[in-house]
Amino acid sequence: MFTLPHRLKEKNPQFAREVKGRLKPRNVLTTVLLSALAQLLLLASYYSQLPGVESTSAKFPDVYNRFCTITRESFSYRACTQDALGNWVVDWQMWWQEIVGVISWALPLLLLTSAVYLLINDLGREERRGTLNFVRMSPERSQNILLGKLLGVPVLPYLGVALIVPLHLFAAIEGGIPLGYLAVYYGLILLLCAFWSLLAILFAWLGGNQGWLGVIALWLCYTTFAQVARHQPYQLKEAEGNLVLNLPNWWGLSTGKIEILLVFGLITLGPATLLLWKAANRRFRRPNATLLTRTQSYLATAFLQIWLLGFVVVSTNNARYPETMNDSLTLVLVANLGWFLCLMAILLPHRQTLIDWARYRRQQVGCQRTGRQIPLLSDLVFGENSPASGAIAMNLAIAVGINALWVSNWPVLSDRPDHRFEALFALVMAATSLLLCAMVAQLLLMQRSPKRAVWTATTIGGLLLIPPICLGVFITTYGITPLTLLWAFTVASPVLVWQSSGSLALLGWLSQITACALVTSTLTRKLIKAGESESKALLGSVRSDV
Amino acid sequence: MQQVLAISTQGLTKRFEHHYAVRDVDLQIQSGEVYGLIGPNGAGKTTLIRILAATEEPTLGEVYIAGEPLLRGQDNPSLKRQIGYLPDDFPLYDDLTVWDYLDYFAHLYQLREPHRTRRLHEILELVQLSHKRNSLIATLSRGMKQRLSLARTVIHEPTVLLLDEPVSGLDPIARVQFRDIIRTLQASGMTILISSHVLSDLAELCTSIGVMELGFLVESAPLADLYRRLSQQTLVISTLGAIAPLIAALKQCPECRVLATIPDQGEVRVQFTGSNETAADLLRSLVHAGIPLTQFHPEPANLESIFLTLEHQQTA
Repeated sequence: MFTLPHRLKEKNPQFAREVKGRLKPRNVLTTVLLSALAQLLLLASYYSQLPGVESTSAKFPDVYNRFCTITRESFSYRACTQDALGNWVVDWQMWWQEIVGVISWALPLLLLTSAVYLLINDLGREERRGTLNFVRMSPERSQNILLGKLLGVPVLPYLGVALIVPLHLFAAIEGGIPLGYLAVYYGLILLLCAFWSLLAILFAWLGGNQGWLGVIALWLCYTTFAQVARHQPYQLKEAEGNLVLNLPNWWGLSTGKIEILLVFGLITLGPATLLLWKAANRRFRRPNATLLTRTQSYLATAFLQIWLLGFVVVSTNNARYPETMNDSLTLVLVANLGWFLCLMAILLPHRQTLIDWARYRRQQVGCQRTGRQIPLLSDLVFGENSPASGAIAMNLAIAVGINALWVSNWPVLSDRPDHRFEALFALVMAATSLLLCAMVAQLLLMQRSPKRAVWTATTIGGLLLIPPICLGVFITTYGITPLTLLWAFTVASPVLVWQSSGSLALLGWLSQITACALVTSTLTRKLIKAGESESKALLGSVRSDV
Repeated sequence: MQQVLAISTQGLTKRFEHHYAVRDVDLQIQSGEVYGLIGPNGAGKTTLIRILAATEEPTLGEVYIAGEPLLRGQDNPSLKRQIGYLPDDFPLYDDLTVWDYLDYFAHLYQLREPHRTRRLHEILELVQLSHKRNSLIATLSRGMKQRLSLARTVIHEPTVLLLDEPVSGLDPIARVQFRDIIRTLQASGMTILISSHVLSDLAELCTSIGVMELGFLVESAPLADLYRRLSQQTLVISTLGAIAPLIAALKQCPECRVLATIPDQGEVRVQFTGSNETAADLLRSLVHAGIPLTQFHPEPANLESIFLTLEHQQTA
């Protein structure tokens, strides 16, 4: 007869190994005690806030306390009354709701902070010491290893948090909060935890081992989520049983409603987590490969566009002014800027990959085995090791295509008949400047310097920030001048469409295309040079010596 | 019927920047062999072994383990079950006991009960760590850690065992223990590829030798074949008297070339290219010349001299 630990070990040896190292009696006891102590402190703290033996006087006969049942309100406090036995009449439902609010705020914070910190430290250490390489060599599936790490490394904080759940549930029932709400809440927390944990794992595998850095990033992002979770009980009461949150509409659906919130959360966090899961698995199997395949990146870009459009479609359909529509487009463009910067980091292959691709493209394993050569265009769009300019261009084409459909459906305004054309042109200009940015990044990644990744990140960061600021100052001081054309070479190139004449914008776009052609030609020359056979390089150097 | 090769590579190449670590290597190792890989530092031995172990992707070329191709970017689970790889550094989990560590890897390699427990006992006995099964890894000596790493490498009974500098940093006793384990593993039918700078160990263990130089596999042959082709006969001749007459007499012999002299011991080492009959003639002439000989015998061939000869040939 097999015991539970035995079955667990058979099912997922990685999880069993992590748990065995951590679930030692002393650690478990400490966690249980800490969790119980925290719950006791919370209850004691709220108990002490109940109306007690406050002294009353003839001058101030009333006792005020926010947990008293309402008789009359004075400022923000409620005047308390006593029952026939002299006990204060307490609004226990509100008292429990506040406890639910505190736990709802603290529970994800504890869970996410500890998971992110521990995962970064553990995997960073394994990667540094090389112990994970032996695990990689085993036939165990990467999914199992990852799952074992995700569930096993933060097992003690999970245990501590799990012990708080009964109190949370009890408080919610006493506070009259529907259990459906709690189910949605826990569902979202689980997804959020998976999302952040995978992000932490990827961070560690990309060379990061500073757990505190992950925690700071998490805390910054957590603020928004915490606000939502914390204020729900109050809003529940105010809306008399209907959960109404101040969240934007998405595809015309109010995300304030609990069912929609769940669907929205699943649609948002689900694919993002899935993408991170795919990237983490790929990274585990092939530490030197790009995080995503190019096909995955196309799907992700298409999904992101549809997701983003959900926030703006309704407002632009009902818009009366071109500025409202342009603001929506700006929002989409800014979000896409962030996404495409991430894509560059994900998809751009490094120097060695490009050198090998340039030298041996025709002799790669697939070609040798099938005896069939992969067409260059197909290699640039779907290949793993070719320069990523083709893939970035394809991603941009997808983004422009989907957004162009949206823009072409904008309402026609009689006073500005060409505003849709302007918006389409702005889209194309933004895409071209992003392509230029990606090509420059690819060129920089071809440098010999061992710190080329840092150099590339710094240069691209500088190119993103400095020119728009300088040009912004210039345009506000001197107005439209021929120098405005320089906007075309910044990521804020749509400004040229909206702020200058049509001919200047067209000239700007042509300049962008010329710059792209120049960078492509430089990159191609470098690749041809890198792909030269040794004998050709040798003969070349001999000839130049002669 | 042709026997399937345990390891086979075709045009295996690995570049770092424009430098070739491994260059167009066609390696073929028969099943059951112990193949020694030798070469100076930076010759590409470690990179070659890492590619064979699937921990490094080749720039070009293909690898077959027992006839099965190693597919790039794939999990290759069935292939991983056939390979055991012990790198020259061997990080371990210090917080685990010896048993737990091996048990963890036995699970990762999907060994099932009751075979798993039996295998753990077998392997602990093989590496002589049965008495340490409940000790924390942090408390083991370097030699024990090395043996534990080897135990982890062979826990799943791979058909191909790749060992990169397995005896570096070990004391002589630990080296002897390690050699004995390798012999046992060979007897169990494993094909072993071993890279080492300790050529005397390789000479004892190996059936074939490969020599790497600047990324190329410049020599790959059975050890006996190498001895036959490349070993040079060296004669050791000693005299009780002065060494000068002996050297003068040797200069008369066209098949002799003095390699070294040790005047204190009256000993001369001579590279001899003649046949057995010529050697007999030489001995007779030295005796007739009145040289009081105490030694006249051929020195046995060794791997070190072959390695030095090959290196010399290549440089030339």
